[in-house]
Amino acid sequence: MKVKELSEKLAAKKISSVEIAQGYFKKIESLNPKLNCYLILCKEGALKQAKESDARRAKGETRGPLDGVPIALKDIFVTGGVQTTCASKILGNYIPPYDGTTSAAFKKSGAVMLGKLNMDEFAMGSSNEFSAFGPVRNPWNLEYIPGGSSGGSAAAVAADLCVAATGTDTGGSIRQPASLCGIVGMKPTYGRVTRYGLIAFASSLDQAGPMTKDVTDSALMLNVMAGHDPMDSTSLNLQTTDFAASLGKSIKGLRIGLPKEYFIEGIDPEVKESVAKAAKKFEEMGAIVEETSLPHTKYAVPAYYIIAPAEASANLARYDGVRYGYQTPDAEDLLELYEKSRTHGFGPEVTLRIVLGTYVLSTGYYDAYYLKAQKVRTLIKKDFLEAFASGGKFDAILTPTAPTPAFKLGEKTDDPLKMYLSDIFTIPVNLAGLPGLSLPCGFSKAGLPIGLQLIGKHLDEEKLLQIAFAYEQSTEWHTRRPAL
Amino acid sequence: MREVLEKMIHLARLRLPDEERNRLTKKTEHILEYIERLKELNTDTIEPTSHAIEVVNAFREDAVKPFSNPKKLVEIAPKSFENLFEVPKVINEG
Repeated sequence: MKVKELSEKLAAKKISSVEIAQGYFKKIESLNPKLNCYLILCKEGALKQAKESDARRAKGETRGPLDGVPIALKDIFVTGGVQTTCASKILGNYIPPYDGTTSAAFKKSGAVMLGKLNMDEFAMGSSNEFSAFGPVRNPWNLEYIPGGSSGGSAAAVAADLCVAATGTDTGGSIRQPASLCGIVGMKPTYGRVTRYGLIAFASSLDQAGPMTKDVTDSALMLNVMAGHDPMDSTSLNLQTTDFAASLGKSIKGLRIGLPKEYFIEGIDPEVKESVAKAAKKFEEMGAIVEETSLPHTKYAVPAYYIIAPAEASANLARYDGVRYGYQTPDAEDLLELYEKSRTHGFGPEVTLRIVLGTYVLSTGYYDAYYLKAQKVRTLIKKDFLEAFASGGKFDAILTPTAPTPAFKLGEKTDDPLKMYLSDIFTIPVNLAGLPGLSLPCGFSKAGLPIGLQLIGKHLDEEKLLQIAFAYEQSTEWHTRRPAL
Repeated sequence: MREVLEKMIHLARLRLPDEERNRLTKKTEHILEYIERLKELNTDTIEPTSHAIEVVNAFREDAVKPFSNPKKLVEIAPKSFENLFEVPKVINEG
């Protein structure tokens, strides 16, 4: 079920929100043991919200397209009164005393929150295997990972265990799992969506966005999430737009760039072929597709693995075992309390990134690593801006979302670099703060989804959605669902 | 490297067993080796970017806003006493 489709059914009173929510809980009960996408179910709260929505409709009122629609949030979104773990033992018992802005926005929209979704601990990972509460499995093949870090969100949407979901994306954590699970995932421009009430990983890169079954739903969800928030000093103070307004407009004459650095050796041939076919499709629809170059692409992953851990090591310093979360039961003094609570509370990947981040920020290494990475960040951003401006005058850039389809569980957990390289095509977009969208563009012979990525100019989400919608309308990839 | 990392582990307020420290050292070395490729780039004249989108100070009124449930903030602590967070004794008696 999709947002738009369900919204119409609810409006026509063909079905009630309570019935829909009950149906989803039934499905979750039968499939979640296999997939492990939900960490927390909010049955009581959801049915109450659904009832209220039905009551509104009975009176002839509605709050908009999300009213009465069952959604789920990645467990990184702070939800007042509802457990928020960030898939970490250190927050295992944390029940926030307040709502983050996004959680409050969905409440206001009338949406029904079914529960909180699994993820890599503190959003650090690309396979959802670094969750403290067990891995998520890919609905297309249970032997395979769903991608990460928003793996629970991607799997839940693909398996229709919620109508739509939210994710967060620091280096590809919305787009890569969207690609691997065959759904639409959008990372908006940095600053579009508030970070208030989003558990921080790397503050200069983190951005929340929708994960949905099609492009229309992506726009409808973004309408709820986007907007200025005085509680986040990096939130952009702009007039709100209707992101669904550009859907259906022709893409004739639009310029789409294909950066040659994204079609390198090591990329899976089936992925390459699917994206090449998509490029042809865009041409058939009247867009102008031309090769371009983003010469600093290969420096994005190393720069990211300085900047992101550095910011993470600072952000994660707050977990001290004193004010909330896990506390060790046996500490003689305060130092021991800090050290034992943190050591037992954080998983191995988070620990690795905290130590790496502390190292690159420490005296004597700061210039060589952190400052260097920030300068490289300037070059990467410049590459994109040139392609959009005088260099190529492109309206969007087309790339694969991930270099391969989903890989098997356990395949990359021992080698951090192998894991990190699955975000090779998504990381540059975060470093440059641009909007990026992943949408289905094919399947491998083994039956696993393949996604393409569209990268847009700062604040040009509308154009991305317009292009994505046009492609979606002329293909049928988004209509396929896994057999479970 | 291992010695430097020991210091970092302490600075990050972690206490890792030997085996874990070995694992961490190996993985960190592996990642740093990969990061070395940034040295190929001459960035002497390049300005650093800390945020991709330029933002100016977002000033707002310095006004008190009530928080709905301040008691809850202390109650969610693993150990609390009245309106205080409880920790092991910090100051030793002389």
